[in-house]
Amino acid sequence: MTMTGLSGVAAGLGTSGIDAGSAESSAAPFSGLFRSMVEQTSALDQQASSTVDGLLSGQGVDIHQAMIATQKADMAFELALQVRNKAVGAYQQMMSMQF
Amino acid sequence: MQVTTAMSDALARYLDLTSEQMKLTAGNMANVDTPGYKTQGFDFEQEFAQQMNKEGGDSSVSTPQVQEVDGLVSRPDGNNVSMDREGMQLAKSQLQFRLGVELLKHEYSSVMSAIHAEAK
Amino acid sequence: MNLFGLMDVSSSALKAERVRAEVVASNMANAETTRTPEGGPYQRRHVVFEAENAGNFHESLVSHLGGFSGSGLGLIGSGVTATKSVPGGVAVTGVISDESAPLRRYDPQHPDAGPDGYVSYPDINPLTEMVDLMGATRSYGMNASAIQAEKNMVASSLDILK
Repeated sequence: MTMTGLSGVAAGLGTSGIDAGSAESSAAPFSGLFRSMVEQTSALDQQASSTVDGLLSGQGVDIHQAMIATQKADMAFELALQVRNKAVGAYQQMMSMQF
Repeated sequence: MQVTTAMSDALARYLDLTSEQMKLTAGNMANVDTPGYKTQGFDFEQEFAQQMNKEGGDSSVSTPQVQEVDGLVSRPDGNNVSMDREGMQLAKSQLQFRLGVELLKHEYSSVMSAIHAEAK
Repeated sequence: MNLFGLMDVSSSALKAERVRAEVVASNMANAETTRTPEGGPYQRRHVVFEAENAGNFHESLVSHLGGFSGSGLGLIGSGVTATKSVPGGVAVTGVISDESAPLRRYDPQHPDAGPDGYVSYPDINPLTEMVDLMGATRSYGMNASAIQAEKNMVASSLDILK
């Protein structure tokens, strides 16, 4: 089922902290998880754009640092996107169930 | 959520140190004819080990300790820059940088393919 | 040091070595010059190099690395002067004249002969000048290959995003 696909994505990273969040059985564990993912993605994106600004303005940023920061932001964004896609797919599948 | 692995953090620091080494080498080569100039350098392996031990949440950029390199012969004008040593450092840093970049690319591409993996 | 700071260091060396080679060429061309606008024979010249902020190299490195704050593109275009100092680089602080005594040869027929019949020639040894020139050429070549290496590093950094 698509829920196993989700934890497959998380396991593929090897060192993720997602398991801690999803183990709780509070009211909406997934929405809390997803919100924190979005926040972290936007934080990484901020960092990447400030690093690239530093590079362009001639301050002491090395080009490889800017590249690495950009790549990290890209990966975080892709991950959040895939999680969202899977979640939406799971929702649609649930909705299409005939009882 | 963590998109980086321990390996990619280590490689990022490796690239940082290698580019520091490159800057010092360029400065040394530029000053090969300056009277009284002493070769500047740092111990790469030691600095890298320190950076590795330091991590665990601490991702600040720390600069290596730059000191004068000993064991070099001074010429009469006080300059002790050896072109051979600097040439070797130049080639080595270039290759190290290339190595770091290739390994990092590999790391990132495996994370990306994990993200895009289709669940069955 | 910024993205191209590394290249600035090496190019300051290229500039300095070129000045040194020019001074050597001028010395060799004027090896037999007995009269100059200032009067007297040509005086041998040599260059004085100085390391730019050599003592503060580490501090400037630290301040550059620790201090970027993403203030946008406002700083592009500032500091484009040709003479800005490059930490870690080399600068030519002056071309000074050698104060050594000129060579004197006895030749009363020469138009520049003094009252005692001696003509003053510059004390320029072509061997010294050639060795100097070879040193300048070698340093120039090494710093040019340093620039190649720096270019390659930047190019391979771009590969990270591919």
